[in-house]
Amino acid sequence: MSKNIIIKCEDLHHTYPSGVSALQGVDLAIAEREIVGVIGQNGSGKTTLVKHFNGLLKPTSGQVFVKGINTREAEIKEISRHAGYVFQNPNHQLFAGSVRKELEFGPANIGMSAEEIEERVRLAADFFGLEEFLDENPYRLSFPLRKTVGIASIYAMDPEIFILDEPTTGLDYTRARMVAALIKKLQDEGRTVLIVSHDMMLIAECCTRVIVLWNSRLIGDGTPREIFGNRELLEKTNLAPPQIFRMAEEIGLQHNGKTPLSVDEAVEAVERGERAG
Amino acid sequence: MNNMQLIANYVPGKSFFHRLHPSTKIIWVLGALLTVFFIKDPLIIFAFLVVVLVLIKASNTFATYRASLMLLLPIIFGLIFFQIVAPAFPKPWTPLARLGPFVLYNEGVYSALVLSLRIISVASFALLFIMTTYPGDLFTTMRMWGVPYEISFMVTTTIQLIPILQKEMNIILSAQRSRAMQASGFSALLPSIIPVFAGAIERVRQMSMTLESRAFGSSGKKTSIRQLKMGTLDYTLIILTIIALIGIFYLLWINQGFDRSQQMIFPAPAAIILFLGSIIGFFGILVLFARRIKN
Ligand SMILES: Nc1ncnc2c1ncn2[C@@H]1O[C@H](COP(=O)(O)OP(=O)(O)O)[C@@H](O)[C@H]1O
Ligand SMILES: [Mg+2]
Repeated sequence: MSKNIIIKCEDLHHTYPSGVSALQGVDLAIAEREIVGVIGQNGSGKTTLVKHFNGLLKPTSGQVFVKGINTREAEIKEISRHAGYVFQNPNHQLFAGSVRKELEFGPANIGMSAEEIEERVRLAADFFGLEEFLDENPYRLSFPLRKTVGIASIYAMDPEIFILDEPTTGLDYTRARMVAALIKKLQDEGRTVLIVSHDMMLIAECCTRVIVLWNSRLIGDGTPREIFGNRELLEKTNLAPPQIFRMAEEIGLQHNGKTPLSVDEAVEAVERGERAG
Repeated sequence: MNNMQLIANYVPGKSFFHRLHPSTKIIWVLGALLTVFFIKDPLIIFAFLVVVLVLIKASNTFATYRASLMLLLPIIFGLIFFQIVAPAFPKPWTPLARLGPFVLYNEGVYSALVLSLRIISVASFALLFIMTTYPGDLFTTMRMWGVPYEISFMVTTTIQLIPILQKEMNIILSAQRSRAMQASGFSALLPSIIPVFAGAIERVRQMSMTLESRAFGSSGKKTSIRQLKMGTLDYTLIILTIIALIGIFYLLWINQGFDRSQQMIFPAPAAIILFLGSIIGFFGILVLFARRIKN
């Protein structure tokens, strides 16, 4: 069975006007419903790559297709109804007098009807636990809540593809766990999600696939287990697997015959007393 | 367009202009301002503009300069338009041509040329100064001239905040475009401006706290890490400039500013071309702006 490809890049290169060559020949195909983690050191090109997926950046050479649309030939507002991009800093987008108006902005821009907008705002507020803040001014909310409003404002637009750039940066542990829960929900709703993150626990827990960028190139692509188990690759890119994965590897803990990726899996493994060979 | 830069700021470099002491450059800018606003001959002002452009080219700042000019041009086109139909000149005016409801006057063409050339040349010279002067040096110079510490600080901090805000503006525009904002028109204004201002206020508040915690405003004499010396070249240039300015003003005085408004008679087609050009230019720039913001 061939999977439905929703995002595709062919020999994607991007050079910024300053002359920095941030992507040098990336080939990638992402299927519907995949949850893809994008990891790599600072400056490796992660943000540059995912900004191509809603048309914020256009390839210097090569092609990017999102739902079959060549991003070169479409405007951002056209692509952004399919691919929602959540900016890292919520302060860069909040402008409305209330959370409700903030959530209505995107759906109104893509021409939803008044009833649809109301429904989407209700769903988003419910999904993110924002009902009680709907009439607050976003600037009065705490940073984690503002960040949540930022994500919810994209959710309200109902895009099939979700792009999250560093969604847990600046959040405390509880809020970061909420982001993980959110990604799970998006997955259950059948959406495709891309997560750029340094939070390896989040990546290990949520992603079905991890890609590794290094020096503007894609050098790793596999399941979280394959990537985190690849010492050579991780050493080269200076990345560390989640602590629980490392520990389980050290003591030979196994969960259904594989190294556990999350604390829950590890706990289960300990309870069952499952060990490597 | 991801790097929209509208207002010029410091462009690092090692050109002749970069190496001059800010004092020398400030005297030049003030001298040019005074001179140009007393000269009434468009040809002389045009010649001055050419010299400034050559200097800009020579100090490797032309790309930044060109981008900043975009902001000035709509004003210039508007000015030309209004001057031609209603010159800032004592009546009677000499009509050259009639276009629908508009009568184009000879005095109008003359003053349009003089005024727009004055503004462009002085603004270009001032931009050259800003583009080639390290903000810290400007600060030191202002202190040297006896400007109070707080005011020098305000001026230089504001200048340095401009590029930061421009960068923020670009990020904010892309964040809002990701929410399918219509990229142009009035409806795009609020969603883009509010985060910029909120961010700026927050930034300034944080900066003031950082400064307070580093004893900003404490009494006593302050020293500076960056030392600036006036070289022999600077002293020579300043003296030469003052002598030249005295000479120029003497010439301007006896020639009454080289006023040639009575001798210069423009052919009617030239007036029509300039008039239509200003209209087309004005709207052309607006369209160009809109397109740049969009892509
Ligand atoms: N707007 C920009 N202009 C010029 N260079 C940029 C810009 N954005 C990023 N870069 C450069 O491109 C490279 C990749 O950046 P980025 O994609 O942000 O990396 P990451 O998200 O992996 O940290 C870096 O060298 C960075 O300095
Ligand atoms: Mg990044």
